[in-house]
Amino acid sequence: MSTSAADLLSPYDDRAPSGDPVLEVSSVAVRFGGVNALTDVNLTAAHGEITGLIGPNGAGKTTLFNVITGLQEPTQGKVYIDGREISRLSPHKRARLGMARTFQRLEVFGSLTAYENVLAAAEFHRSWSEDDTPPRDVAREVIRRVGLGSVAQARVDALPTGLARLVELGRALATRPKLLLLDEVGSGLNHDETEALGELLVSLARDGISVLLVEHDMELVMAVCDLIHVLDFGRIICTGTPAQVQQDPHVQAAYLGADTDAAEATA
Amino acid sequence: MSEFVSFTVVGLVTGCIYALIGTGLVVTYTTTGIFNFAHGAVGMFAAFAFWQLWQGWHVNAVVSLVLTLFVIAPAIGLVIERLLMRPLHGAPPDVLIVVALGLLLALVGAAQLIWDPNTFRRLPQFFNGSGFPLGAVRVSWHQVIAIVATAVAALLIALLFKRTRLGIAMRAAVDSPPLLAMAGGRPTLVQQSSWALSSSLAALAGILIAPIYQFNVILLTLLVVDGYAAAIIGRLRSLPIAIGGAIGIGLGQNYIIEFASGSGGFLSRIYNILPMVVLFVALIVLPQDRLRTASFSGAVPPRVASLRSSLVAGVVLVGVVFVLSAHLSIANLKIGANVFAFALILLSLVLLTGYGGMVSGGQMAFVGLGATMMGHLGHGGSLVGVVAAVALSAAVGAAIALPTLKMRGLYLALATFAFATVMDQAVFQQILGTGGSIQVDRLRIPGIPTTSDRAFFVVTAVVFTLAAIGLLAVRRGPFGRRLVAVNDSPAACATLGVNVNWTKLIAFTASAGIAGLGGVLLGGVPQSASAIDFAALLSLVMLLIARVGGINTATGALFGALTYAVYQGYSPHLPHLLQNAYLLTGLAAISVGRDPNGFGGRVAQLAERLRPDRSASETPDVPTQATGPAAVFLEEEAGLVHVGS
Amino acid sequence: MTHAIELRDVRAGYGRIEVLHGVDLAIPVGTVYALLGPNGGGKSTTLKVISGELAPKSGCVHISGTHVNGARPDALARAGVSRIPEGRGVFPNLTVDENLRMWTYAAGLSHGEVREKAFTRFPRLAERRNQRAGTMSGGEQQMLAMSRALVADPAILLLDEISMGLAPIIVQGLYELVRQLAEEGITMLVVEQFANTALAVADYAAVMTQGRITAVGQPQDIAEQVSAAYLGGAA
Repeated sequence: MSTSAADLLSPYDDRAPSGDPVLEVSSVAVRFGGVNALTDVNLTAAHGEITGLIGPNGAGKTTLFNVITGLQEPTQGKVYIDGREISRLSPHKRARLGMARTFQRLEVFGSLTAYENVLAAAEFHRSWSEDDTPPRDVAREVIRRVGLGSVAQARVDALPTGLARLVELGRALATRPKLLLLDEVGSGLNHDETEALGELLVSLARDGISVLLVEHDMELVMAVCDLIHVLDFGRIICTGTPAQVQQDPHVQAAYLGADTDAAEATA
Repeated sequence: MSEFVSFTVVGLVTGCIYALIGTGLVVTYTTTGIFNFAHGAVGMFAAFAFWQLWQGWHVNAVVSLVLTLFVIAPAIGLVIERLLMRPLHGAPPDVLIVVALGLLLALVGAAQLIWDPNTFRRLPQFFNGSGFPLGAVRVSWHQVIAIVATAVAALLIALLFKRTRLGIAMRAAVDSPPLLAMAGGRPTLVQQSSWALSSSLAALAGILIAPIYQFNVILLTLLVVDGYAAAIIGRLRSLPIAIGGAIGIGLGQNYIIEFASGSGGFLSRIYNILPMVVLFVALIVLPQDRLRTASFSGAVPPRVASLRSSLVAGVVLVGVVFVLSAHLSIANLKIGANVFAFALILLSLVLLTGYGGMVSGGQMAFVGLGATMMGHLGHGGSLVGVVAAVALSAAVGAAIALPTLKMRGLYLALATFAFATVMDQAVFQQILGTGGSIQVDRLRIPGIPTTSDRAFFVVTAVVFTLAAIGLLAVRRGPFGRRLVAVNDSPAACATLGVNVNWTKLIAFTASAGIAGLGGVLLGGVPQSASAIDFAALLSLVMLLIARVGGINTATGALFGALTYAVYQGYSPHLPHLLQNAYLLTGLAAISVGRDPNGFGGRVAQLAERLRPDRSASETPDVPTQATGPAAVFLEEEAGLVHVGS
Repeated sequence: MTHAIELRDVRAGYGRIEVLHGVDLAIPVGTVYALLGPNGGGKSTTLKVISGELAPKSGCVHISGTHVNGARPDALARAGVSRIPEGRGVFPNLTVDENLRMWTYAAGLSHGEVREKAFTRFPRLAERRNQRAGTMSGGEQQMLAMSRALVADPAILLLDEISMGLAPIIVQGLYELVRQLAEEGITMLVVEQFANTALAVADYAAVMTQGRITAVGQPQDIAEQVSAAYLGGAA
């Protein structure tokens, strides 16, 4: 299969959508000791859409990402990609089905340059897929789209956090995933930078990449997401469009805290 | 029955001494995150200091004991904490290991400098070994003192940790040093106390064990290694379990002797390796806590040499060796061949530890396997022997890697060291015989004379050069990037589709194979191999000189090997130098704490500075004008980013 | 009038990364002051600057009218400034009583005195005195963490997200305590995700986004800005 440069950021596996959601999480629960980190979480991410996952600190968003990518074994529940159950696959086998992620706590290849970070990921992809596009072509295109050109030769551990997060985004893109899980990729960016990130995400979705976005910058989330799931204390408390989520009283309580009356109602 | 009782008493004493050692290791590890390989050397040094006071200067025994345990030993601990360990906060595990090993050698060297090893000394048992009968068995007062002293020490430590503010603060520091500081406690004081305490425990162990076994600087230092297993059984944090494990090992060892007296020699070998087997198994079986070391922020590995510069350097090196070979004496040709043999062994550590971040404390086991295989199958220098040697080393490497893949840093170093010790004592000494040796022929290539001393020198240089060029090419290529990436972030690699364990397995196997090839060359120099060439401690020395030379560059491997082999070659002629060998090597290793890239890193840095146009040739043509979020970032926050630093 | 805490044009950050881009804050003595805003806005960093754990790059920090830039945390602690860190400020593997023993360092009191003060304020801790702190409920751990600051009779208390991960009913109890402490005259700077909870007890509040203070006022006046900062846009 040959691909033109512009298509290098679209999913490699671009079979027509099967009708199933790209990602389906079904009744997932995670308990650490006696603490319920996640309880009966169900959510989906549809093909070519940007799905938001928001919630206050400690709500369980990163834990859910770890469950989806296989870094955390759930106490119960299942995860499906394109209708195929992957709950028992190891992380690298899941990645090979077309998912890639970034990390809230940076997990860059610090001793490599930004370009090498992206190149390595492109090489990984080539080693386990049938994609024969030269990794260098993929890496160059990713660097261009993310805009990392002028720091391509800088070691990543010398970069500011905001840029390092974008290197992680580029690295994930270089595996040409169909599902992209972004864990606060925009934190550390100012208003203009966040806007540019939003534009990139929208264009990626247009290219057919499904994005699951964990983000604290509500302006970004509200601007780009098609659907938003809200997580609080490990439970999904609301799913809806940005407008619905903003109006939802449960969401407001989760974020702003109940004032005394509401707390009494909850208790 | 009486035999059983006497073995039980001896086993209890051995176990108590292991318990003291294990306790000291756990105390410093939990409070400071450093596994003190030099723990035994501290005990040795203190035992000698005790001898000096008591026997040398005829100070009253009790006064000598009190001075040693409560003044000299804590002082040693405090000096170690202040000068060596405090600056290492957050250093990578193999730097911590190397600095501790450096301290071990420096203490051994200092002890040999103060107490001439050629003079016979004896440290008497307490009450001159007198005792009393217990049933049909005679129990010495020294044995009673050893058991009682251990019990008292354990009790005092328990009281310290449960009842005193300082002791509770030491446990609090394990939970959270920042919170301790916030609460007004002083984490530094806690660390000083734990170093002082663990030194006293080491001293007590040294003083108790020295009269029972040999009063010899090196033997006493190594004896303590057997106590590591106890600390690991306690998972480096539980003192009661460590003490229980220690006594179990002590008893087990001595019951084995009881059985062995009736059977062949095999069981008596198990006696020696039992602590190491327990160490290896415990590391694999017991779930270990996350290591408490962070990644080192200060050390930036040097740039990887380009293909062009490594080819040029290789041609120059082989050319120089060729010219030089015409002018060197036979003795010097052999030293030269040793340089390249060791350089190849260090190169295997560059791959494994320098690039892959896996710390091997057992590389000489693979070297030994290579040399032994060459000796058995490589008669007349046949290539079959070489292939078999590399294949066997690689296969054993893979077999050792499989159960240890999930281990990181210190645990891997300890497991591989345990493996090397078992190989040393149960395989090499068995096959080659203690003190015996086998013939190892030099590699013969049909049509080219390769076996004269001069030709063999050139052959070793060519083999090293090819391996180095190949290794650098691998490092620049996809596998090298993958290996470095797996070291930097295994989690990210896994979520990008990389089979992390497989990658590590390949690196470990390849490294063992290279070490095996190193063994073929190393055995070929004297055309023989004996067990002492592959002593387990040498594996740690290899790790140490790899770090000193520079563990992430081929230049570093060559420099480390050059220093080591030349020193080894000439020191017999310069007795004074030999005496200070340990001290000098130790001090060099300690310096690694300040400069983790070693000498090779310095050279690479210098070369970098001399290059007129930095990295221009290697820059891929990546577009710099773009509209992505990172480009916006760079435009708006240009002051924060120093491009091309 | 002298403020308990005053920051003027404070810039601070980690390494080359600047997190606070010129923060101004003035907190009157004896008030509860809520510092609100989304994650990553610089709230915790502001508290660390005030408690002396992070030195500002530029700007002035005044505590009770004294310029304290660069003073160390233990010096500030003696001067009556205490921060309860994010997460649980306790030693999880020590018992409650052993934790209290650690509080004697800063308080300059005997173990018995610390015990008495802590148990009077939080009788629950007396019941749990021999239990390992890590095995207690989140609310109990937070009580223990707060007892560290309170036994030292602080003038200024900095609370960093004390409600994180706690059930609403427990959060309510903690804020009941905040209200009590305010009545005792302790100045409190409260960083809180759950804005409404904090606003219910606060005398003043400020909204912080992207390293700057974007709104200051009495709770009822800035509720709208708060809501916008959290949930985006004009909701």
